[in-house]
Amino acid sequence: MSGRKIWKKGAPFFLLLLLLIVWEVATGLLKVEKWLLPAPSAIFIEGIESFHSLFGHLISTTNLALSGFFIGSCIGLVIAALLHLFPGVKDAVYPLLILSQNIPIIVLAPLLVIWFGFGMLPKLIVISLVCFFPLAVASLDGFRQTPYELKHYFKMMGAGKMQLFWKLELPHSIPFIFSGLKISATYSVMGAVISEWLGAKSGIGVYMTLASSSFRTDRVFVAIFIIMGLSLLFFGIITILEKYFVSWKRKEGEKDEAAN
Amino acid sequence: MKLQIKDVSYTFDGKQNILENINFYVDDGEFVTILGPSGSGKSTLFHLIGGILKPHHGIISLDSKKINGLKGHISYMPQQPSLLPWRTVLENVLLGSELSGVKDKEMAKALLMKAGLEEYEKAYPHELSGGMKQRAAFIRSILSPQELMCLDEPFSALDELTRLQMQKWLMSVWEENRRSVLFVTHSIDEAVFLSDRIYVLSAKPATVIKEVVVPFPRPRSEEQLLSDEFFNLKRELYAALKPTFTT
Repeated sequence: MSGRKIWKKGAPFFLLLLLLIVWEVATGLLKVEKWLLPAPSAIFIEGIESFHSLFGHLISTTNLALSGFFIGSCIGLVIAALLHLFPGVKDAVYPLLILSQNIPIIVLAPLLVIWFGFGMLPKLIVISLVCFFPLAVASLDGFRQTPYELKHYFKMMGAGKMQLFWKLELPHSIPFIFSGLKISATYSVMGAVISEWLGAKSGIGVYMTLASSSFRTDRVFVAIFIIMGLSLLFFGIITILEKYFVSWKRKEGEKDEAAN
Repeated sequence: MKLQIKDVSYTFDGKQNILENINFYVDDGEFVTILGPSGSGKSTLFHLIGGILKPHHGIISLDSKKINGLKGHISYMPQQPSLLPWRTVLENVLLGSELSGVKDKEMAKALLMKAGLEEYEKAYPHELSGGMKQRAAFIRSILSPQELMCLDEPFSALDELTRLQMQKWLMSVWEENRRSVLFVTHSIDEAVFLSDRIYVLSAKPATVIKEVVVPFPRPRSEEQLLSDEFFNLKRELYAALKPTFTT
């Protein structure tokens, strides 16, 4: 591996490391109080020590985020498909979809608890609400941007609307769908944490609320890092799946790079 | 008679006709070419036959059945190869038959072999050269079950040498299974080399101004491209086409 390549792969990691070092040194030199801003090392140690109690929280948040992500993504994809297949409906519904993203979750969440209680349902609604949108928009773009000449061939061959969708528009938009999935996967973790603030028995969101109300700033940071890690993990998994499912696209890109 | 176009007129805006009183036919197993200048409405004619557009006047019939505005009756090969980038070559050539019913994998493999594409069965379209893509597109239209094949300037994007190679290859494949073909081009050489009959189309509004029978026996060879008869025919067609692009 050449130096440039190592830099390309490792650059974000090096930068993060640098930031952590600056942080560590600064808290030490300026003698910042632990409840104001703990040093990264202190956060790390706290994370290791409370790993046992954290693990349960982590599992329930992961579960919640995954289920919400799955439901939200399915809804997003179905909505996109329906809007695409019925353009008349699209004109009416699309603006409402955008408005749905303008509802502050922080305000909506307590309302959902009032309507649906403290169970899973209001939480899943919150996560689905943030997850469906990126996927719906991305897939709609994918359907719409199907190349004209391919559509023309299908039409000349007498393909029906459904054949056009299943054999052309849907496969064509798979790269778009994966872009949407990457965004909603990272949103799903945030959505899960927010929905846990509403009231849950366990979860990173619960752990975080407890920590901040008892001024355990180090634990708040542990929670923050866990949320980041989880988002990255989701993102990574989707990226790996994408490489597998759109291998034709990747090879196309490699060819272009080789040509340059 | 396979395909018959009778008194067909078409207009986009209701004022000026794009196509005016077009009359021609394609017999069973015949290779017929529509020769016309660019922008003369050749593609529109294909859209009418394909059923995407409906003629304002006249009858399009296939096997004596009226197909005005009906889709799915022809096998089509477009100007661009239009292969699906996410499908392998084998899956791509099967697409036409997949859209209208039965897939024949063995037949597809045999045809790919004949086209020298057997090593590329599992390759994706972007790995093929321009000529190879067009060969795959042609195999796809052969594999489609409809009896009439409509080829819309399939070689216009290729370079001269590749085009000549492709024309010879197309002839050899076609002579083996003799489907009815309606071919559109703006190249006189191509028209004479490939067809049994040629219709010359005028510029706007397009109408058939000349019908020419190509008397050369088959299988045809490149030498015929240099014979006197060939040049005479070419002169005749050129004379017919000339007013369409000098005015």
